[in-house]
Amino acid sequence: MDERYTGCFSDSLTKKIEHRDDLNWVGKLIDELPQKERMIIQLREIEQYDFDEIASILNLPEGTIRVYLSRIRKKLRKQFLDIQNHGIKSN
Amino acid sequence: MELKAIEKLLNKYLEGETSLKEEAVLRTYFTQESTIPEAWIPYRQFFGYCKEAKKETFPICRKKQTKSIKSLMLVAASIALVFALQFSGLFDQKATPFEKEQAALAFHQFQTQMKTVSNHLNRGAQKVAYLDYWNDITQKLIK
Repeated sequence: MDERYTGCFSDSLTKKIEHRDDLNWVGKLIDELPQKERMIIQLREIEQYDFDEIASILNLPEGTIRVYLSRIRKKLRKQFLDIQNHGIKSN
Repeated sequence: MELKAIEKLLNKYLEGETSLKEEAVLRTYFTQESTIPEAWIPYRQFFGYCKEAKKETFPICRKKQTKSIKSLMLVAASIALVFALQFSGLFDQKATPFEKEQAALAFHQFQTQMKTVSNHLNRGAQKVAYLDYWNDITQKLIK
């Protein structure tokens, strides 16, 4: 395993900075999502709302939210893997 | 937690079929486990980000508050500026006769300089008008 990830939460300053850097680009990827997708991710992953609550907030059927969420999660996963493999962020 | 169980949960997660409880299991696994398979590193980063982001509460409200404080400070600063200008005006009124004389002299000098400048400007304009006149004549001759 890549040694920079082995102790993500260690006290070493370098690792802390690297960890902060990782968080920054995850945030950047999320910010680049279309508004609706960003809201769904925000409500589910960060605020941890239930599907029926998200459905009522966004005025969309629950099934649609699930489909959206699955699509966004897969999309983000692909982008994460791309960055990890190339080591370069595509802008 | 067994890796297979996590993998199963991850597949469910990607399909959008996990419950909040199952997602909490994933979140704790990825943020607390020190060694995870390399392929899962993106999940750790993502869940780590979500955990950090959750700590930020009501960012919109906070922004609004700072904005109102800023605008209040702006208003206060502008009032202070108006007062300061007024006070400086009062001080000017108490200027000594010598200062007044100097100011008058400076004004007079400025006035004469501006007059000279404007005279020269006019002279320039006359020259340009003269050129225009010559242009007209040459145009007529060509025709």
